[in-house]
Amino acid sequence: MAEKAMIQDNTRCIGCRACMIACKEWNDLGADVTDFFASDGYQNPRDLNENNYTLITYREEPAEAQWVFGRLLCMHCASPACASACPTGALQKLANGAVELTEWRCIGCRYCMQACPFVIPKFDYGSVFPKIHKCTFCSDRLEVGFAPACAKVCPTHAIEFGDRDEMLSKAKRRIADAPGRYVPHVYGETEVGGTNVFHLSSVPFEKLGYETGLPHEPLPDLTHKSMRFVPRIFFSLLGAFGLMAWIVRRRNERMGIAEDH
Amino acid sequence: MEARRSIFRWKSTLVAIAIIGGTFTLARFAFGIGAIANVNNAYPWGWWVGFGVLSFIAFGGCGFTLALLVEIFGQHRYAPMVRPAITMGLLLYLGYVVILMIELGRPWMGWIIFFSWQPTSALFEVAWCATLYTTVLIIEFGSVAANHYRWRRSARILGMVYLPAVVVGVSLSHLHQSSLGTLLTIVPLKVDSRWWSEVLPATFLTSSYMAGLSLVTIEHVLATHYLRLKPRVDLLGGLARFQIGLIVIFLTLRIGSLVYEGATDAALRFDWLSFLLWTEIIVGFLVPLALFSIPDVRQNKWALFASSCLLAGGILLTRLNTAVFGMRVKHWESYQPAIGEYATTFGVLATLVLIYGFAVRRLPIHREEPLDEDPAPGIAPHAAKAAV
Amino acid sequence: MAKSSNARMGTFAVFGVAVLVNLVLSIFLLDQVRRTRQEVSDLSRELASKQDVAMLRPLRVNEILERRCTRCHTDQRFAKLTGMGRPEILETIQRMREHPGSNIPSSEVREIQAALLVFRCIACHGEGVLSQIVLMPPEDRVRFLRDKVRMPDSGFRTDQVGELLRAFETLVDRPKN
Repeated sequence: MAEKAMIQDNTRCIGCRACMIACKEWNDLGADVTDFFASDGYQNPRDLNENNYTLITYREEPAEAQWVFGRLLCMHCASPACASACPTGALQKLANGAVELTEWRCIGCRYCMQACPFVIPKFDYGSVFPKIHKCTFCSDRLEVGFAPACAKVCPTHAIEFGDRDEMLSKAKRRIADAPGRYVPHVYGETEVGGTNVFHLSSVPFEKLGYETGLPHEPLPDLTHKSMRFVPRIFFSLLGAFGLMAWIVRRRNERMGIAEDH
Repeated sequence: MEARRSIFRWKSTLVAIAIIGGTFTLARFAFGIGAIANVNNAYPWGWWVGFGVLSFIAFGGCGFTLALLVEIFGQHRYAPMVRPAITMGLLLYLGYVVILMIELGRPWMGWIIFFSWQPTSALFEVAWCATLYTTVLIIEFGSVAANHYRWRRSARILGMVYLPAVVVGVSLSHLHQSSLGTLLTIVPLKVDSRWWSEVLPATFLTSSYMAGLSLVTIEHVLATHYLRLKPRVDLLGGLARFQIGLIVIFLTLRIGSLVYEGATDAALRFDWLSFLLWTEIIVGFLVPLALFSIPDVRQNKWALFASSCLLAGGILLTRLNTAVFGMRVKHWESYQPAIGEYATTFGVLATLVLIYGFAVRRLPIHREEPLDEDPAPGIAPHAAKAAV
Repeated sequence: MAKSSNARMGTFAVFGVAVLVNLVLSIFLLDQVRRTRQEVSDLSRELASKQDVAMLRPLRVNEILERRCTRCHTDQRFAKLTGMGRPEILETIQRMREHPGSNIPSSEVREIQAALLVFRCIACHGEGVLSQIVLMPPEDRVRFLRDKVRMPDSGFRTDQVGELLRAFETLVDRPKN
């Protein structure tokens, strides 16, 4: 299957939250006890959690005195920091673009949460049998040729789904066709080495609360800089220390120093 | 008598701390992590990792540092320090495993890490190396015990694997001590610029040597004091010389990375984190550096003790600063360690001190000569026994 | 003996720490100096030139003429202004206003007159150069215009400096739209 991607066109979003409901429905997620003003205005709940893999964020843009919407969901990075950090391989980047969690392999170390620049993976701290929760890209639906649940239900086509190349060129074309309507940036094209979810917006992304100022290089590269030397370093150290220890022991034997440890 | 009463007071305090920690641990397994800890979705690690993992392993580095010094660099005169170092190292690594079991969300799945292949993950490497190294520590410790109790067959087998085990153990330690730093290189946006740098692996490795030597010094002064043994100030002075070199290397890396990463602006800012930074650098490293450089200090066991405590504090602070205080995530949630997090870690620490206190009196860990002075009645049998 | 040794240790320690802290601070300070110098040398690329500032307040001669004149006249027509001074231009504008459908409000006459007079300068100098007059104090403006008028083939008489100055001031101090 070709690599898939999603466009989240925030200028088309009307804040109906159908995506949140569809996501809950498909992934069998529970309900939350919520507060009407849990966060800024009508945003509800305040953040992603074990019952919400996606969330429409509500911000008010004072200059225009109107809502601007954003959406939280896993960005499904091209080189995901979470999957690179996971010590058990519970998180994997799939060929269809999804970053998938194999729940039973998770040991709850929460390194993925630490590593994720978008603060997406969530953990149910209240549970005695907790685990990591995050958007699945509806990987199970993709395999049978369906679009992710959120993309399918969006009534205004704010969420669109297709092959990654096609989605990226579509996002760019949309900006080029209506430059006044969009800020000239496809969020997710280059952030941390590219992602499989592209966000478009009418206001600068920091006003939507998105993490801006991310490097364009994949974050795993930072770890990889030292991690890739590990085997070489290990065997060099082993050799060097072994040799030194052997020399020291022979010297001691010749000088008749008793082993004294 | 005075010493004995003070030991008793210490012991009861430690037992109390351990019991409180145990209670919180039970609560964690009964009601989940959220019941006792403040770790949250934006700050998933917090105190448990900063203190229980990063710092415990740093100070557990005493085992490999002394093994490196004695067995590999052939500095044989430090041999009397090896046994305490290995015992403390083993205990601290076991303590780290216990804290990890509390801290992991799904500890019952922990074994799966050994049936995975994730060479890109620093945590994978730390887990593997730390486990293998704990095995090495058990072999080293077992070899000492077998020799002492004259378990002939075990002693022969362990004697054969001892040196290879030391070599493997020291190599493994270099890997996972530095990988603890690598753990945090993937989050340049979350760790404050005053602590994040690409040379974190190197600073963490250097500080683990220093932590090991400081802990050995602190232990030696306290143990010889309470067991009424002759302190080997000459050896402590020798370790202090190594400390000078290590502190200089560490500070060069530290200051160099601050300049290289462009963090001097932040370092000269007047805020809480800069206060922590300067406390760390001045009180934790520069003052010990100055003290260790004075010959009079290197011949005075309490001066060495105090300097080592400051240095140990500096290392602890730099680790906590990197992983706890300097961690700033742009998110609505914030983090302060909860009582439960302090209680569990200090509970484990108190238990370790108690076990070590017990071990040091029952096992032939210290073999220095007893003090010449006439020992107070009631303590003499103890000290004499331990000194054998 | 022990006391003096302690005192010596203390002095050494305090002195040593002071030196070391000083060393670290010096390194940081040097880095700050280096970075500041770097930033200053990078500034020239970011700093606005007089030209840039002047462009913030363009004379907008063409804009004015386009609004009221170019519906009927081509640019070439304005070239025939050569030799016209303020009275002649005003007279012309009045004549144009009389044409039915010309739709030139009296409030804009002053502005159009200034624009047409300055148009004669633009033929040689370009609006960018002339915009610099915005930044000049009054005395310099006069000197600037006088120097230009004195140039051979300027097409202006020296007694027209005042007219020119008023024309420029009309354009420069004109409220936005």
